[in-house]
Amino acid sequence: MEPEGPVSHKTLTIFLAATPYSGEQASTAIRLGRAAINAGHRVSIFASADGVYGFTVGHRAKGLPNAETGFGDLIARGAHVELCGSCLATRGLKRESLLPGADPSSLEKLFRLIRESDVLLTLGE
Amino acid sequence: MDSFCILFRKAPYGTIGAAEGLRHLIAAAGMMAARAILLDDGVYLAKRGQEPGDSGWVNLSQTLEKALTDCRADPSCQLHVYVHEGSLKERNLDPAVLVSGVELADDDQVATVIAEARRMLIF
Repeated sequence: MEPEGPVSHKTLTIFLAATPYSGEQASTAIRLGRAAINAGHRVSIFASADGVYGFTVGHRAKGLPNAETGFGDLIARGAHVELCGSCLATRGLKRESLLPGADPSSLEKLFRLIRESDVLLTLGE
Repeated sequence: MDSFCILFRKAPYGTIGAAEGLRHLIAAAGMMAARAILLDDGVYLAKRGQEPGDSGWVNLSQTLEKALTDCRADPSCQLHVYVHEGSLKERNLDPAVLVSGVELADDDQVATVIAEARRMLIF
């Protein structure tokens, strides 16, 4: 969907700390990200704590929104995704188990993203 | 960044929330002026005398107190942690049980800190 009329390009940063299937937060992040991209805005997602599970591969979610598919589509459409590196290590998640384009990051990079964003949204448990 | 704030709403140890918030607060304080508000069950984070023992958790109130102490010793560090008085009262917690360095804030003061925050993370 193309943006309707002239838009002021903003950057939405979503801080996601919720697991992909225990609630609606991951699905909300995907839908908000999709809507923002459709409106011509930039989207960044920083996943922390159990939020990193949404960016692993091999999900077999049926009958509910598939986080892997949803986040993969967002990345393909230009969303910038970073994952808390120590959170990945804590959970034993290695790079090969992550969606392409979802890269391990750091708190320093998180605060840089926050500085550069126009809107910061927290979606946690 | 004009003002950065972390809102703590959950008690320590029951979930990862308070520990994560504290980790982010300490990192933020090393990079920018940072404020935190302890609200609802989040006020338990500042309660002195926690003994996580061999549970695997670090002592979160001690960690908070150390962060505040370290910050006071560093002139470039700007860290303020506000504890909501109403939440303390609802939980029958006396301010005397709180770790040193935190500041009490009433409803209006909490509202002001939130209103002044240009960016906020919630745990």
